[in-house]
Amino acid sequence: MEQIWNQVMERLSNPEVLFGLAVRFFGVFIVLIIVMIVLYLSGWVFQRLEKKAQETPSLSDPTPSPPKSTPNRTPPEAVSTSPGSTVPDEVAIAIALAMVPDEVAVAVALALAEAVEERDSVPLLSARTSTLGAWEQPGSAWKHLGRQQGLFRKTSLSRDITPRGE
Amino acid sequence: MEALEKLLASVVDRMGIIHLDWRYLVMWTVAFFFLYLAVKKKYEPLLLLPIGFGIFLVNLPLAPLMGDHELFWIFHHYGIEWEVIPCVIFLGLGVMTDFGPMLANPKSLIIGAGAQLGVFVTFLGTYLCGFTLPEAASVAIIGGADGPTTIYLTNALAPQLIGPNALAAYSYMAMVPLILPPIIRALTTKEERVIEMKQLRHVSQREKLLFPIIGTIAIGLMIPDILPLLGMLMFGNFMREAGVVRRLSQTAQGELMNIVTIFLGIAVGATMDAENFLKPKSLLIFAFGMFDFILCTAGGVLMVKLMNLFIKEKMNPIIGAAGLSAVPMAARVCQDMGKKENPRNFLLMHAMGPNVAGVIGTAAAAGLMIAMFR
Repeated sequence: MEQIWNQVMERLSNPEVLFGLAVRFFGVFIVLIIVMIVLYLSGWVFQRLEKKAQETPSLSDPTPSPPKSTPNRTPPEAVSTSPGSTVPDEVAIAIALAMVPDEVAVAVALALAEAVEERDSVPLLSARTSTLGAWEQPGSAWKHLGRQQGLFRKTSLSRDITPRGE
Repeated sequence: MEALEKLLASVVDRMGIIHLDWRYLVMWTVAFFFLYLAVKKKYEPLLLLPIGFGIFLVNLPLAPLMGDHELFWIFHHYGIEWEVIPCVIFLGLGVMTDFGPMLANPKSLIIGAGAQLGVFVTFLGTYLCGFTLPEAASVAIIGGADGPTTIYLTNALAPQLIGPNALAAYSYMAMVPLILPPIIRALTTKEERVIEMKQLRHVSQREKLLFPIIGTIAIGLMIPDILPLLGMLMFGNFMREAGVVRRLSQTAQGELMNIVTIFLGIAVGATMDAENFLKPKSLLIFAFGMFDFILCTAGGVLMVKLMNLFIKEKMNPIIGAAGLSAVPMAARVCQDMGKKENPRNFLLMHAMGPNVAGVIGTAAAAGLMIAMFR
């Protein structure tokens, strides 16, 4: 034990080691602090450059920025419901509604709704027919028969390979 | 008859079982322990599995693997002694690393430096325990939790310790999820652990692209000894950020990395034959390695606490533990721990900063050691 203690003390008495150790430890800090400063500086420069790059196109762009409101919509005054008329659509509809009795208005509304419903249902219907039509495509009777047999075989095969009890 | 006896004797003598003794059995236990950690516990399986199997193979008596110009000797000689594999691994690491979090918060470099505390304390400890100065330096770097740097430095300063050093480094790296949390909890209060951190600033692609060049100039001019490692790291990162060599970067982080990992694992495991490993020095290295890891983790956490005394926007001290390199496992552990303490805490990106800074810090420490003792 004493021998180990003496060895430790002997090694500790070497100032070069302790000094070197301290220098190296702080050396790591110094190196990384320098890198940190470089990164802060480069980060600052890049952020400035990016900011400038963002500002530059908006300043140099000659085309005026679009206004906040939506001017694309034509003002109501300009829209004519009939040639030569300057009455806007909304006003014309209101006038027409005021002129027509309630029952007629309801009937027109129902007829319109029905028409819309019919129009919407057409694609659904056509889709259904087209799905069914896959079996009813024009072609020879042999072709249809072959297709049906193929389907039959497939189903029977799938039945055969299905484990029992499942 | 005599000739037959001689022949039989020579055949029997060439059988491994005749030469089997307790030391081989101990080494098999060590090998199976690493295989268990890799397969069952899934701790760093990519490394511990080839290392474990390498240990197992070289500890079969009379195995013609580590003699001159034998298979594992070739892996070790050309891969490790020639310092090829650690540098290629750093290349892959560079491709996989995003330095963005560190660039967004350069303060994390100081945390990475603080986490080197253990390296220097352990250096003194090992030196006082009878290791030579180069040996002490190579053992001390284990705490940096950076396998390739440990291998590189050990190979440069104390190649006779490469087996136990590499094994200690990788096995403790695998145990980062077990080692870090108790140390963090012991050194921080609940209030500190729930600190929420502000989102990091956006780092532009141009900034990320130029960092490998700026970083290499800054570090390379001060510690040129570490350029083989750090230069490859930065080269890999430059390929990643440039985005024009997609095939190269995919190869570097994929197939190439996998190939060198296999050879690294086998070569490191192969250095651990019974004769070299079963010495008191090896056990001391493992003990100092653990001490080193604990001190490095503590150093990072304490550094954040120290920095919090001077900065306006407080940092969560949990991220200090990520100053230990172990990329990205240390950062993940910090994220998990932070989320447990405060579900609104997302520390992953904040921890990635000190994590990659730790890699640079460990490389810087290794470079300084090499400069002094080579």
